[in-house]
Amino acid sequence: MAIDTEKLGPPFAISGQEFFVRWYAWKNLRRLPLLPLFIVALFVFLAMCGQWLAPVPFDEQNLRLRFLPPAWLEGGDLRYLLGTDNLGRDILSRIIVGAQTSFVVAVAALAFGSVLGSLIGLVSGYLGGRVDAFLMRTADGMMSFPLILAALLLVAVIGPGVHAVVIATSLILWARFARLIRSEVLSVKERDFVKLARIAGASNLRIMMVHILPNVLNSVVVLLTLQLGFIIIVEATLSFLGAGVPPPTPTWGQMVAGGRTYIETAWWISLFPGLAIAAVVLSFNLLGDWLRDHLDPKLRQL
Amino acid sequence: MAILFVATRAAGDPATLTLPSDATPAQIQAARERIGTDRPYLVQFGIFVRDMATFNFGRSIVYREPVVGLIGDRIGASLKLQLASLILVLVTAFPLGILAATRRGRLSDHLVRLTAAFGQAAPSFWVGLLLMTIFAVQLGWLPAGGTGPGGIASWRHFVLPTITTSLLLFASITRLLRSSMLEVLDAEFVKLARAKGVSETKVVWVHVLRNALLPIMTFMAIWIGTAVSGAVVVEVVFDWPGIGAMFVDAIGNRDFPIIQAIVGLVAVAVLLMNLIVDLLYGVVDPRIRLQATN
Repeated sequence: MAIDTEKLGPPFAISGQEFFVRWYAWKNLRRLPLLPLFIVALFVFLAMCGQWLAPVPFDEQNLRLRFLPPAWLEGGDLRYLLGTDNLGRDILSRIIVGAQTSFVVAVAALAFGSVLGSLIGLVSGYLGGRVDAFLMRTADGMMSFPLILAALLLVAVIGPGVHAVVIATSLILWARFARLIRSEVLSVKERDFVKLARIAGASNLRIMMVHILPNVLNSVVVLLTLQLGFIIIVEATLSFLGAGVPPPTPTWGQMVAGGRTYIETAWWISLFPGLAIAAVVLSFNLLGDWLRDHLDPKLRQL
Repeated sequence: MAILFVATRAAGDPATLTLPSDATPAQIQAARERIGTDRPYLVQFGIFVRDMATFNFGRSIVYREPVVGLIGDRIGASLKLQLASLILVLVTAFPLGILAATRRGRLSDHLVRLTAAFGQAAPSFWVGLLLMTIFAVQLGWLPAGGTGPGGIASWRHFVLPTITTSLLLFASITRLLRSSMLEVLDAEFVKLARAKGVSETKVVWVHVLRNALLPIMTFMAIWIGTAVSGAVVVEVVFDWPGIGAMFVDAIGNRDFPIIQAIVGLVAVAVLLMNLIVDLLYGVVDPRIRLQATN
């Protein structure tokens, strides 16, 4: 059958109804939290190319310029906008370079945690019965056990480093994903298209991967954004306690810890890295909230 | 438990860790026999399970004292701090969460939501340091940390650690309470209560709050994990003589009897908390009670 291309009109013509749909989508998009989006974008950008952007090499020590206050205070130096720490290192540069550690740990932990957790949730929800009971008990146990305790223990065993922090955080994360995905799978698997697929002779594996997984991916994406901030805080806390990524790699938690001894005289050493953590985490949380309200309003209780 | 066992053994032989590096093989062997790491792993695991079950945690490798006594000395300070924070959360989060829900969209709602969002985003170790800088160092109103000579000297030592500890819980509960209150406020039975002429205060505090409590209770069951994590951080920041700071020290020293004991203690506390919450469900929601008896 030949299609009459004339009748379809030019490819970019939009009917009235279609225009309304697009306008509505755009209107929703416009309510995007812009400031958080900007902060997140800046954070990702700094994480990617912070090394080349830092005004001063992050590990350049200058003992004559120790404890310089931020530039706008008396005695500050414009070259060191946010001041210097106890070894005369530029705080702004270290914050910029430190973004990378937070970012790498967060992305890696989320990648492992979400894939593992989603698969476990999928299997658990789909198979049900004893497998489900066992997996969910394990997840409950993981979720109620203090994660900092577990992470400290783990770091003590496998030694400090990026890999240890990633393993520790993803071990905590998988349970959250597994729990959520399981509850989603429970409702999806009762729907007709799953039954039809089974009648058509699809294997369990095929039903899980092809028919159920795409229908729960929405929730995975929303949870991913909501957990990003959480992971950044966990990473920073571990760094603060000395169990994170070891020096000389600068991390924000480590910088706050480093300034602890000097808060009586040089409060800026601890203040600015902490402010960076709070700003980035707050932005991720707000973005996550926005995404959840628009993609998946039924998750409001998270 | 098995995970804990593997963890404690995989981190290296405590015998070699506690002795000076120039110890003779004979000394190492003697230390191993004292600690018990010379025996096969299966035997070690059997002893490990037995000790955990009977609360026999042995002696600290570093302090050479029974672990039970060491923890007993310090657990009081931790519990006091947690209790103070819990009380602070109860008297602040509930009124504010309800306020935000009933005045949705107004200025007070926005302020409460902003505070809660900040409380969830700011890392507690940083908030602690910030409070310390402002109120202890700059203004000099409150002590910066520790508990003063001879145990906890005065309420002034409590103020900053308590605020820091409660911030995350406060933020979570306020947010959760607000959203679950909003959901319940839309329900038919609320309209009915209003139509019957029940006063607005009673509608909010009795009819709505009771139904909005269930998600909070589920949250409280997993909250104890967060509380312990928070305790670790806050106790380190404020030099608080509790078991959280002790745990961090023990990790640094590879003092496994102490680590084991604290992890065991926390595991028991988690189980107890879950049990209590399960029982409380029945108290708050008669529907669950009826289900259970049928």
